[in-house]
Amino acid sequence: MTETPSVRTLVLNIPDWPGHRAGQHVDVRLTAEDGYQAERSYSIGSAPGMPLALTVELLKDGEVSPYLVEEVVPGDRFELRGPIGGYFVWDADGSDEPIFLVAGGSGVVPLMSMLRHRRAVGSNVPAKLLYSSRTLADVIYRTELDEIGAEVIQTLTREQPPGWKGYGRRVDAEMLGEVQFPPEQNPRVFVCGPTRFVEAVADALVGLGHRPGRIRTERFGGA
Amino acid sequence: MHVDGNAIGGMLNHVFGRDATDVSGRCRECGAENYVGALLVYRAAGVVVRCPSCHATLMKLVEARDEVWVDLGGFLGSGLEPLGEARIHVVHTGELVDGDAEL
Repeated sequence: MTETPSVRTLVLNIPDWPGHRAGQHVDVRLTAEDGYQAERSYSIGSAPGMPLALTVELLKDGEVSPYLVEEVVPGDRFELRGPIGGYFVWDADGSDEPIFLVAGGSGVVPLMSMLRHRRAVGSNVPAKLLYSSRTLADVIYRTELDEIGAEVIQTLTREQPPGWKGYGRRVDAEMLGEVQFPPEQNPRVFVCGPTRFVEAVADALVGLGHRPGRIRTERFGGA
Repeated sequence: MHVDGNAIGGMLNHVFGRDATDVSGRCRECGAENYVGALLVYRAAGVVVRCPSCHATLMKLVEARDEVWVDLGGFLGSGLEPLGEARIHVVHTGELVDGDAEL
């Protein structure tokens, strides 16, 4: 399924899959004919209990994403390890603590798994997603975000369409202060995106009074 | 550009035989307590894991073929123990199916 011009969701059938938790990822390993191996991590976008779906962003000089986004066709097989990670996860465990999710670009993928999980189990934990994209065309899961059952606040950093009602700048402390669950509500906070984005957001959240231990981060590097 | 401990979760599963990202430990230099998932990870020929507070080196890992050399000397009190023997980790084979399934 094509999410944006450079982002594709792959639904996989894995007979011996043990199941996953919302927020986890897998490592996909490709082996060339000469034995050269390349391995990269991709977040799982689907809710626990649903078929495994990876949402992959094409990196132009990438070694794995061009295959996954542009080449692989139904019936093709490839190796993966996982599910991986127990730190950047959210389980609908009966806690009523609000969840505040902050995404930069394809950092929305593991957070979408959490929101789909929340919807699937009928959780009434208050949830907000603050999601930063460059342009409207870059917004992943665009139509589903309208019906995910959480408050979704978007910012478009590079270009905003006429009549745009969301924010139009990079996420900053002022924006976080306007949309957050205040620290007194003791929210759990998950931040995922490029490294610089994640660190700027996490620093601003600490500045707003959130305890560092309540903020869980996942950085995916460059750009 | 560095990433964080989540990014080496797969490698750590292989080394420890369990999820390590949700395990906490203490920096030998500054004493800061952090989960492995929150540690800073620098990748070059090997992997260097640093303290997010003081940037001291907490772990070093080098992966070659299916073996991983690991030095955990800077990360105290985590209880993490590398598996002592070779272990075949499970590799799944995923087959792409209809991409329009309801998620």
